[in-house]
Amino acid sequence: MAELVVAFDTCGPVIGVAAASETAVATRSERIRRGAEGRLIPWAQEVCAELGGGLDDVVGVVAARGPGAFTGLRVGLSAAIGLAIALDVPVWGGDSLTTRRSTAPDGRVLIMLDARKQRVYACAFDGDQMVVPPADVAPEIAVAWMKAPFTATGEGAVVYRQVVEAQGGTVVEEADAPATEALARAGWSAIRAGDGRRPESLEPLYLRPADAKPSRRGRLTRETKRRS
Amino acid sequence: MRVLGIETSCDETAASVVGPAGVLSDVVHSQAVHAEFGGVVPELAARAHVEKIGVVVRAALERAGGQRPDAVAATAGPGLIGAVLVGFSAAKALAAGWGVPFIAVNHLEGHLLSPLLDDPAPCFPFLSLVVSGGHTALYAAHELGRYELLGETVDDAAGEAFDKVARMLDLGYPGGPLVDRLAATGNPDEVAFPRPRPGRLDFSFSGLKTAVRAHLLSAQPASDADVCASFQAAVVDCLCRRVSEAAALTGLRRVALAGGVAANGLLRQRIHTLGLEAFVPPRSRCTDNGAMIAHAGRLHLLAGRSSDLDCGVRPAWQVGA
Repeated sequence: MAELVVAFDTCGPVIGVAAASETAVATRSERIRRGAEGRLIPWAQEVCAELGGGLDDVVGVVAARGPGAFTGLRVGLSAAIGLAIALDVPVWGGDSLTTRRSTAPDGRVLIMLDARKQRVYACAFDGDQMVVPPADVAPEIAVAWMKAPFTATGEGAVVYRQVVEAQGGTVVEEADAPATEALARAGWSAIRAGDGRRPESLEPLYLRPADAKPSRRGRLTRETKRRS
Repeated sequence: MRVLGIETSCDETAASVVGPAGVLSDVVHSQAVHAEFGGVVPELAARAHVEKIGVVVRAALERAGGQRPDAVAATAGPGLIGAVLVGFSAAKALAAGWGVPFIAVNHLEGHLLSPLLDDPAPCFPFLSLVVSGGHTALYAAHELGRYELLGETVDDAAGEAFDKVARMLDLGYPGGPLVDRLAATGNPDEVAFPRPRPGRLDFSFSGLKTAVRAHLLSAQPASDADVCASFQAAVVDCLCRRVSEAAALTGLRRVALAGGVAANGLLRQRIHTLGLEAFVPPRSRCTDNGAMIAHAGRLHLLAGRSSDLDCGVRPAWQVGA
C-alpha cells in the first residue's frame, strides 16, 4: 500500500483537504463560511480512499499554519495535531502564502490573501526568490513592493483587483483546489525529507495580534470613579 | 471501556482518560493570559488552546498508561466557539485516527454528571445546581439524557458576578477564589445587599453587582473583607433558597453541586444545611476538566449513543436538547 500524506488547509474562505502519494494527489475543497470542523475528517477518509488507502497508510500530516482566518486556521491545525498523535506520525506546517508560489506563473509574483479591515496578508517573489516575507499590510503597501509588470494571485488580489491593476499588475485567479494540492505536495516532500516534527510543536502563524486591551486597574472608589 | 475526554470551552485546556474504575488521568492547563484583562478574552483563549492541546492530550494518554482509548469524547458546546473548536477538531481527528467512536458532549451535562464520578455518588433523580462563570442553572436530573431546567440566571452568571466584584476591588482574576478568601475574614451582615428573586426558580445577579458598585461609591464603604463577605452571603442565599424551593416543588431530596462556583467555601457549607442529601465534588472537579467530559461521553456510549464524524460544534447547546 502506498504511503500517504494528508493535508488540511482551512486558512481562507476555501477550505481543502488533500492526500498525496509519491505519484498522485486527491483533494476535496469547498467555499464555506463556517462548519469546517464537520468536513475535514470525512474528507480525509475520502481522499485517502481515492488514492487506494486509508488513514492507516498516512505517514505524515500537514497543515496550513496561516496566515488567514484565526478560527479557521486553528480548526485545521487542531485536526492535524489530533490525527498525527493518533497515528503516531510527524506533522509539517506550511504557510498559506508561500505555498501558493508553486501554483503561480513565473516572474514577479505578489501573493495576497484578504485579511479584512482593509488589509492583506502578502508576500512577494521574484522568480523563486522570496523578496518580501509574509506580512500584514494595506493592499497599497503590498503592491508598492512590486515593479510592473507582475502577477498577483490569491483571494486578496481578487478583492483588491483595482489596486493591483493601478500598479501595473495582472490578477490571476486561482482555482480552489491547487492551494491545498500544493500544500500536500510540499508536505509530502518535507515529510519524506525528514522535516516532520512532533505534533505538539505545530504552531499557528497569525501575523496579527489578538484584539484585546488590558483592563484598567485600581479599586473602585469615589475618587477613582471621578478620575475615570 | 476507556474514554479520552477533551474540554476546551473556555479558559482551561483539559484532557482526561476515564475507565470503569474511574479517572485514570486528569490533565488541566489553566490559562493565565487572561489575568491582565480582568476576564476571559475569547481570541486569546483559542490561541492558548491550540498551543497546548497536543501537550495536554499526550500527557493525559501517557499518565493513563499509554493505551489507545476505546472512544474519544469532546465538548461540542455551549462555550466560546473558537475555543470549543480546538478541542472538538482535535478529538474527532484522534477518534478517526484510532478508528474508535466519537461522542460530542454538552459541557453543562458534563458538569451535571460529574458528581457521579465520586463516591458516594447521587442516584437519579437528583437536583443539580450548575453554577460557574458562564452558567447558573438548576436542573432536575431524572436520568441520563433527561434533564428538566427548573431555573437559570436571567442576566449574569454567579461566577461572573464574583469576577466583576473582584475587579471593582482590584483583587485580581479569577475573582471567585479571591473573594472567597477575603470573605472569610469579613462580616457577612455588614452590608445588606439585595437578594434578587426573579420569576420561576430563576436567578439574577446583575442587580446585586450594581448594588456592590453603588456601595463602593458611597461616602463610607465597608472594608473590602466585609464587602466580599456580604456579597458572597447574598449570592449563596440566592442559590440555596432556589435549591430549597426546587426540592419542595419537585419532591427531590438529593442535590449535587457542579461548576466553578461549587468550589466556594460558603456554598459548600450551606448546601449541607438545607435538609437534603447533598453531594459536593472535590474542588479540582468543580472547574472545567476533561474527566467530566470523558465520563459523560462514556455514559452515553454505554447507552449506545455516539456522534458522526461530520457533526459540528453547538455553541448554544441546551442541556437535554
